[in-house]
Amino acid sequence: MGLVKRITRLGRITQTQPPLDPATTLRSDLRSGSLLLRHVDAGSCNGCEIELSGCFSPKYDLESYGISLTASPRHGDGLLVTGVVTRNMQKPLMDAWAATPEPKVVIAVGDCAIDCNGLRAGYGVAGTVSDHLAVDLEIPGCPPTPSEIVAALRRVSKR
Amino acid sequence: MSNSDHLKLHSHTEARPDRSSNAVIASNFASMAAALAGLAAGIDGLWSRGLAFTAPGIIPPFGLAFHSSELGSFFTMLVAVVSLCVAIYNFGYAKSGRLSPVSLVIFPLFIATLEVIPLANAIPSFLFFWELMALESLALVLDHHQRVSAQRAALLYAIVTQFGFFSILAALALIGSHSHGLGFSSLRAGAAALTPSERTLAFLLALVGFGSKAGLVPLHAWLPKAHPEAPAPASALMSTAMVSLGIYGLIKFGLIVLAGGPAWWGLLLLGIGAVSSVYGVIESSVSSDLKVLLAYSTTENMGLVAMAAGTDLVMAATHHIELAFAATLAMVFLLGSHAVFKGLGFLAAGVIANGTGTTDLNALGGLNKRMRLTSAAFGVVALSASCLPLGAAFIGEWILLQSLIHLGPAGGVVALAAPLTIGAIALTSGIGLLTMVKAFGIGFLGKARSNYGDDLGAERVGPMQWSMGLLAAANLAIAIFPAALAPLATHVASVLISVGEPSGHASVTSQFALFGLGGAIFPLASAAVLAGAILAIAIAVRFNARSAPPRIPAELWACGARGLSPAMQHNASSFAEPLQRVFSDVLRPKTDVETETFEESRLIISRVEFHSAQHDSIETALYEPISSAVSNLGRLARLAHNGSLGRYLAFGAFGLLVVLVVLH
Repeated sequence: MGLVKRITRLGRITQTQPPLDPATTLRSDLRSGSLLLRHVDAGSCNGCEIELSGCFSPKYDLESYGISLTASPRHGDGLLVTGVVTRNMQKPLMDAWAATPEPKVVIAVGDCAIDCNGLRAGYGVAGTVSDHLAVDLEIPGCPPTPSEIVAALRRVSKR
Repeated sequence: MSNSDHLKLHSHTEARPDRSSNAVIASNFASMAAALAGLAAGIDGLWSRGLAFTAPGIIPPFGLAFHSSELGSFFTMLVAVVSLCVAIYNFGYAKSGRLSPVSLVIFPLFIATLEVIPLANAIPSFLFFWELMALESLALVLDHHQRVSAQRAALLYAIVTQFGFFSILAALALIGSHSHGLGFSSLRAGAAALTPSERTLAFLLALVGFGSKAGLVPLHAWLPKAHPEAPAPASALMSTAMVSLGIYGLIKFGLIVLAGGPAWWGLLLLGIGAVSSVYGVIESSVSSDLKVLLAYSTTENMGLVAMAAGTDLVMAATHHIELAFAATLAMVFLLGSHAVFKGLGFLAAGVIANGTGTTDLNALGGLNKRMRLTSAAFGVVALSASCLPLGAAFIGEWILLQSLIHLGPAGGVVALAAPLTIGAIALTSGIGLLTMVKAFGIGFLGKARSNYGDDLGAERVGPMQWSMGLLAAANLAIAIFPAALAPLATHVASVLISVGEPSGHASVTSQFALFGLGGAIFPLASAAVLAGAILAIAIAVRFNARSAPPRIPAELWACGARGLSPAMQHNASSFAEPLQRVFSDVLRPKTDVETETFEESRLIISRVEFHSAQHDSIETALYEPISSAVSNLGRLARLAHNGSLGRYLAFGAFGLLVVLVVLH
């Protein structure tokens, strides 16, 4: 019983974000409350990945807003793309997009995914995410902080 | 997916000229006639007076003597049921020269011999037909006698079976030493006059002799060698009828003629049974050839039967009559269910070998779309063999567990043996479940690992499919209506049991309950609930399908990569790898990793090769030293005959001298 008492006394100690402004939500055709995303690293330096993994830590607890990652896009709601789109990842990115069932959302995380962040001239770079796919949401930053990512993704999960 | 990913298959059976169909038909009708005659004799012996028959002139000076005792009739009936299905199966199997002419002749004879053995009523008749059975089965193992593997398997089988025969001969000579005739009835009277040590020796000899035929550890090694070589219908007969006759001999001479013995006989049987079942199932779980897997599973199941026989002996010796009766009943059910599901398993393996050219699970896969009927039949085998409810073997195991669980406070070794036996049964059925999941999942589900896909048309209903259907129906009958078979099983068990019969009956109509013991199962009700649930799901799926969006064909998701090949699936070896690791002390797997590095740097690997060879660890540890000792002895003997005529004449003269001195 001591544990239950402790839980009720302590309450939630993870960071609670401010309530969501309904006016800022996106993609009303997607179901609200849950968002399953397939993460595609299209050529990232892994800075965004570190911040993404931070989102799932107890402090930011992205899953408490109904957002989680999935291994297969077949049962996902969309793609979470990081990094510039390199030539090697061009095809896999398009394959993953084709494998996602409709309706689907594409979210570009980080400056590289949005505007190549000064790497466009690189010989292995094929372009930005929006050069390949219709991007619904851009999360700028190099890298974006976990709280920025959480706040942006909540606009899609509407929770 | 490209065809280069597929394994190349070598034809399992060499092409033979098409035998005249008349010979095939004659052979099959003879087999069927023999099976039907056996069925009639079995029914007659069980439910009416039974027949007695002597032919004094056939093998002089003893003659042949038969009497259809109730125990013998049960085994004859068991053999006849499997034989009948095999005879029907052969109408499909034997055409286009799949069986050699010798096998065509042997088949009906083999069936008749198997049926006659349990009816033999005197030592000479029994031994004559026993040896005949051994020779006929040897000829069937050598169906493809030009294959080196078949020759080696036949040699091993011949050695083990002759070793067993001489043990039986010695046991029967010992038992008969005090009796006045060679008939089994006078044998039993004579056995009562034996001293305890003579009885023990006779029991041990009989255990070795009949255990070798039943495939009990450590004389099991011929099973996984001989079965892949024999044609499938012969394997089906050998693995069901012939091994059951090993158990028959054990029961007949250990339990009935010697009329039971001290509790440690039972404990010995329990121990051998437990080791056989656990070892058999572990070897079975790591086998990647379907026929080898089924052969090891036979050792497992005969181990379970031996455990039931041991429980019977222990309980009888400690005066737990009802528990002994339950164990006997378990033995009857285990024998019956094993005969039908293992027979079906080998017949299905035969269809697969014909259609695809292999029984190697690592080259199979996706058969459920190509051989629907065979896949369904093997599904029944897998369900039955994995000892799950609604599988045939479950009934026998459940009764055996009941007889062990209901043992109250007991003293001494028995108190220790019962929980250990329960543990062995639990381990066996657990690994058995994994084995059957592997056999069905790897062999029948998934994608084809070989390029037989296009050659294999839709499966047509023929004699082979009909016979498999019959056996599958028999499996389901045992599993779902065990109560209907309970009167027969109780009847046989009451004959089998050596000490008295408990009052009461073993069954009520819809439930299957054990008299005296608290347990009951409701297989019919569970089957009805399951069928109802499946029907409900099917209706719901059909109903939902109307409102579902249309299907879109798409490529398999491969994490962004393309071109998944069937070789990337789990295969039989990889599925069994954890088991091989866990039981490496028992299996002692021979694995070898070879790596090649680039010349520039020894740290960068250019090629890795992994070899894994399966072998029978008991065979390696026990048989190889014996065979090398024998060949060393042979080398010594060779020193004596070097081809010199003078030496041979000297031997002759010396021998004559010895004879003269002894006779003087």
